[in-house]
Amino acid sequence: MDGLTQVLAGGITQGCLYALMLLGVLLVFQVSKVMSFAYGQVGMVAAFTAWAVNAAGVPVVLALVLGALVAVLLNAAIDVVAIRHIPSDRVGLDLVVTLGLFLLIAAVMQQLIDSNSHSFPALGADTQATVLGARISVNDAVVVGLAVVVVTGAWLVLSRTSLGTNLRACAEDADIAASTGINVRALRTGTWAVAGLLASVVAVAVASRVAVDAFYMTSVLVKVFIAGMIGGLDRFWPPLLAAVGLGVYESLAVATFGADAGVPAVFLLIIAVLAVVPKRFVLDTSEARA
Amino acid sequence: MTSTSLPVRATRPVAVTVTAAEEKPTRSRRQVLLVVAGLLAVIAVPALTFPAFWLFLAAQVAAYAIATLGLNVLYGRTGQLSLAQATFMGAGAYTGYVLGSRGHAPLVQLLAVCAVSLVAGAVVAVPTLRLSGLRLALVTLAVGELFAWVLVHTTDLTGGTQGANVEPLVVGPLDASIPLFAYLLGLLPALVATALVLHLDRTQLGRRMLLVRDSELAARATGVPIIQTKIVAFLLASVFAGVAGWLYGGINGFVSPPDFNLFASVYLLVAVVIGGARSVLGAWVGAAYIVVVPQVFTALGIPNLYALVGGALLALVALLAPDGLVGLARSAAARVRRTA
Repeated sequence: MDGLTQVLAGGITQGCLYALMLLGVLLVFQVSKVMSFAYGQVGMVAAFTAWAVNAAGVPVVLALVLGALVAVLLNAAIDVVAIRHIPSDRVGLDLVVTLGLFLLIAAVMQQLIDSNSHSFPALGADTQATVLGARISVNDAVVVGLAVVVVTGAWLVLSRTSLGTNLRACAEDADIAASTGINVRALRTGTWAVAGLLASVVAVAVASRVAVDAFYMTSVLVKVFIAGMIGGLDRFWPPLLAAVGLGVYESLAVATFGADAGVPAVFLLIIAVLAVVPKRFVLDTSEARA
Repeated sequence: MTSTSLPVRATRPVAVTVTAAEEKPTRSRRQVLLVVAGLLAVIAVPALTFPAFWLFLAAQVAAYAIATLGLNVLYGRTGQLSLAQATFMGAGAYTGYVLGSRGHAPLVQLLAVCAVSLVAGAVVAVPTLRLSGLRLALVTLAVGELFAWVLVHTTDLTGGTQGANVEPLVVGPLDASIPLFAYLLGLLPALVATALVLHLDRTQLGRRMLLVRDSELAARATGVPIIQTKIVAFLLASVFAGVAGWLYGGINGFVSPPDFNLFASVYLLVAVVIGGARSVLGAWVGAAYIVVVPQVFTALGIPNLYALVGGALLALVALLAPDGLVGLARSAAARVRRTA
């Protein structure tokens, strides 16, 4: 029983990381109609920046803030420099351009740091307490708490504030939103910046648990995209719950079949889900550009 | 007599963009002779003038050209983005390796490679393409990760992370361990693949692909079976990639997981976009880029810059020159002709 509780706790923590990352993907996708393959790399840049600055003697908290700032600026810059210039009639070009940026950012970081794996400060991952039979680290608790607060906050902003109304108007029809005086470009760039911040939080949390290299966020991003596909990229709660569910599923698969079972379990799941999901479950129109 | 007419909703006319490469040419006898002369030159000049190392690289270019031609069909002509082209290359390469190491003849290997590629392509495409292009990109990404996992965890069969030595491809008197024969063994299938893709422009299937790429709405309105067209394009690309991987293994003599991972798929996309995704010549230019440019960077002592340049080029060319280097060259030539 304790073993199952431990597995569930680990899975929920992992799922909350996916959900936080996916929240950024959803915001960008719904407002800009773009999927960014460079998104994980933006988080990686934040983590490596924080690590390098901390190694140079800057306190951890300040290093993390600097890393997050870099991610915010980088993701916003991706929107301003590249995404805005993609013609709306070039289907799939956003994926190609962000794939190029994905490769470029990873290669630049490899040049600046190196290709090796690095261990980051544990950030509470090594301080544990037993809760309901499961060993929970401070890092785990912060991740779960942050995910609950951030996701709930995002939902409240989107559904209860004028900013949320403007964002939903942009998501529905950017041209009409612009004609009513909404600054669509600024809102879009703002969502990219917020997504950058979320990516930095997740990337730092992942890096505090395992040794990482310049490509470590790729597998996280793939799983986040998978959760988005399962739940629907044009929705709010279903994909986020799917992300948490995916984390639990992955954790259960690893506990049942061994450490190597995580990857095939997740990818076979997505193929199986796609094979049986009814077509009406996804709105093709909202995915047309992406 | 009164006539009734249904209200017609004004819609934006659909612009089906057909590039010069996609125009249906009417070939004169002189043009046919020029093509034949060009083919002979492509075969003879490297064979007679290249040193062994460059001949070996030319053989690899030919093998990669089959994979980029497949991506040309899928992405350039049908508008479907796959991030598993290198995965299908890997499926072909490892199928060839497994059968070759058990003494099966090249023809058996080739048939098995085609069968495996078709089945693997169908498993990915049939459930995915009925939904959306975005899902195809993401699922192919997942399939690539899954394939990499399978390779690493089947050491007894595939050599695992250490890779595997592949028996050189031997077809009749042609032994791929000899650079000249390796070049011919790579070039001949690549020419067949090129002819097939060129012929596609003249077929109904080829025109359906272009319509699906440019406007699914228009395709639907004209009765084009969209999903079937996409699936056929995906299967063609899978088989092309499988054969390319089989040739690559047989020519290179060694296969390992990094040759066929996500980054290899991205590099194939870089190659196709840089060359010109909608052009057959672009697929060849892209294949040359993917084989030759890493050698150049290695010779200059800066091998790590290959990824950096590749990423930058992919983003820049996709944004600024959608028809790639071939498109740029054609535009420049047209400008010169107008000026002259």
